[in-house]
Amino acid sequence: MRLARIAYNGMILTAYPEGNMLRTTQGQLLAPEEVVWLPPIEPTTIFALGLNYSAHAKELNLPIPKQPMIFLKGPNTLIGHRGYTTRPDEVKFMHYECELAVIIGKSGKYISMETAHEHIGGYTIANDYAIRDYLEQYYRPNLRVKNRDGTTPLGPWFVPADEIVTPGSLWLRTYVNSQLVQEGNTDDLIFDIPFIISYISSFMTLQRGDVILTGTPAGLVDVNPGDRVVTEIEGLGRLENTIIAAVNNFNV
Amino acid sequence: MRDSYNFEYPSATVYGVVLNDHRTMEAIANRLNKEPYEKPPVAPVLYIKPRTTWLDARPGNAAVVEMLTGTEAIEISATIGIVLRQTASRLQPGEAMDYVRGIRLMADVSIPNPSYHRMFLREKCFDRSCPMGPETTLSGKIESRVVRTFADERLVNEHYLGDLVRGVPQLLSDITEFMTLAEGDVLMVGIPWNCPLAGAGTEIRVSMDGVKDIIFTLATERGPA
Repeated sequence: MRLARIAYNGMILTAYPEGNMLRTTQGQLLAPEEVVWLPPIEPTTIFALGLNYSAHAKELNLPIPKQPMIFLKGPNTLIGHRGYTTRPDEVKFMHYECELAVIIGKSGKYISMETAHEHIGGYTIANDYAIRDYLEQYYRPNLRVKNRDGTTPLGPWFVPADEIVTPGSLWLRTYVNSQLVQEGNTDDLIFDIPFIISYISSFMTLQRGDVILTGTPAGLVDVNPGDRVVTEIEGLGRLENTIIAAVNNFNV
Repeated sequence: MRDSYNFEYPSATVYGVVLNDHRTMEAIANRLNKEPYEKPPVAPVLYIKPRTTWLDARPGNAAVVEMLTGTEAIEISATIGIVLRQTASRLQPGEAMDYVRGIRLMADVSIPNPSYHRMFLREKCFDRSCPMGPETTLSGKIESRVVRTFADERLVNEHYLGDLVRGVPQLLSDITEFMTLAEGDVLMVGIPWNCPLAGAGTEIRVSMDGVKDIIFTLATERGPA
């Protein structure tokens, strides 16, 4: 069963969906609005693919990469479902990035593409926000763009691998204030999930609890304070996030 | 002599900085105004060394770094990392040192690549590519220290920590402005360009006044069982 990690009554609890409500393992029946949603897991290492959808490469006028472009993210970036993500006050372009997140369930090294699926524990949705103004041509995407506090919503559910039968053909959609702004399908991945797992594990041990954000399709639009951003992936639910201005989030 | 306690690894994350010493910046200044960089960096240039790179390199622990098959030589970039005392966000330079509780001697090992355009995971994050020492306290100033690298007991590099472009307080302030560092995190203060290369079979020793050495040997990759 899919599960959520929530904070309620001073405790961190596991909860399952029950209709529109949440049933904690301890027995409480709670509304989604009365709890704090945490990222469904606390990853060990967070990998993220840059430029991994053909349509996205086309949109950016960039050649299809020959090797996966992978970067890492720190734990400070994660924020749960229904959170508020800060937009710095002076920037011109901050955009969402709806991504399928793969959660490793079994550690391994030198994993073959044929057995890669045995190492997947589950899936969730990620929104890998980026502040384009800060992009510099050093170790790009540089951490000032991609490693900011609370700029990577993750969730809402940890969905066990056996609940997703066709990870290679899931639709992804992003809505800003209920308008569809981004759409794609994992069948457009340049490097698919078995390849990514095999590639990374050829030189790094993949550990249980690692998360791989597998890239975003085309359709990136600037988001502003007050915007409600929903990233949705077939079978994984809807991950909600609201943009807040820095001046309103940080009291001077 | 082998330390009798279990090695305490960093709590969560190890971060590193490049292009943070004057010697490097002067040496490659003319490259930074051209493609693909366009101009010198404005913000600190950061990267992450993930957990699977961490390696206890205390003397007597016989630490081994396996070089990926097909790699003839790897680059040994010795430096120190500062250890965070507590959660650090939006620090002012004046208070930054209150958030430092110690240092670790570090060797950032990588497959050589002169480009700073992208950080290639395979080159910088292969298993055990971050040998390190235990957390320790340092008396006196970081800026007065020199980190020395020996390959089979020949001195091959000296990294002067007084040569940093951004010192520790400024680094911590500029970085925590947008990303929180956790208690126990390590921030390596900078590795110069063009560090020494070494091949399989070489024993590397990194030393600095006031702290214990770290030692590791390079070997060829054993591969799948």
